Amino acid sequence: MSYSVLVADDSAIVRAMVKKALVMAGLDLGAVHEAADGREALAVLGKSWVDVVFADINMPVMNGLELVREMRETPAFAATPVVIVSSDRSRARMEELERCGVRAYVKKPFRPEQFRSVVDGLLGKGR
Amino acid sequence: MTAVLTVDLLARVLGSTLEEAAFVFADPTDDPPPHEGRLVEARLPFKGPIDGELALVAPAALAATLAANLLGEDEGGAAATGDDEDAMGELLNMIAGVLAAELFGEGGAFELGLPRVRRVGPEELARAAAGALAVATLVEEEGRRIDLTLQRARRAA
Repeated sequence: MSYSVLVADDSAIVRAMVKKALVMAGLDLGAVHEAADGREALAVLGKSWVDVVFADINMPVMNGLELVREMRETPAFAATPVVIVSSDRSRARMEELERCGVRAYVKKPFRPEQFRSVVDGLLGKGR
Repeated sequence: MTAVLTVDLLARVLGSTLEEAAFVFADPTDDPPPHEGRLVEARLPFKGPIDGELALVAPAALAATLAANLLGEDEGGAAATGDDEDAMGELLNMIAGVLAAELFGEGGAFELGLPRVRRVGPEELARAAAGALAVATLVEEEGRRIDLTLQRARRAA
């Protein structure tokens, strides 16, 4: 069964890189939605089914941490898993993200197999 | 364990990120070719045990190569689409994450800002680089130069 993903990053080039990495990782993708910031991501979540969100931390308008907080407070997306894809490895950010229920993190620069591993961990193998 | 800021550290982080993310192989040089033509400059502020700003500068043609390699596509019209600027900003973002982890410790207390990218001429670049704490210059296989500069934040008087 394929699944639908949302890639939220203010860099169009990173969104394209993440999409490519997901395909190269051999994941069975359905719809791939994009958003340039957290606010756009929430709009996508409001009108489309998404199995997993891949989000950067540092984005304008609404950053990744604010996005995760908003998602957790919205019953319709509270259980949607979020994978943070970021260069930011600061302790304070990681702790905040963990408190918000983020369980997966992919550091940039990334390799496709890292996405396979985190998606298998979140959604189960074989999807 | 944390590293000490040196030109060698900047060069190592720049070189490894270029190689890992964009498949561009570049070596440090003490005798860099002069910057010529239009350049793409990305700047990214950071806060931590020291506050400062990183700058990454490359010729527009190299920025287009970096964009193409990040995407795994032909160089095509990266300059027209803005992908070359996007690529420079994103590479600097990656470099900043790796460098901050080296300087302040993996999981240390620091905050990265958003990259700002612009096109500059060589003269403008020389003024912007004045007062840098450290500058690493690498030259890639086709002889094109890329600079990584770290500046301490200016304090209000």
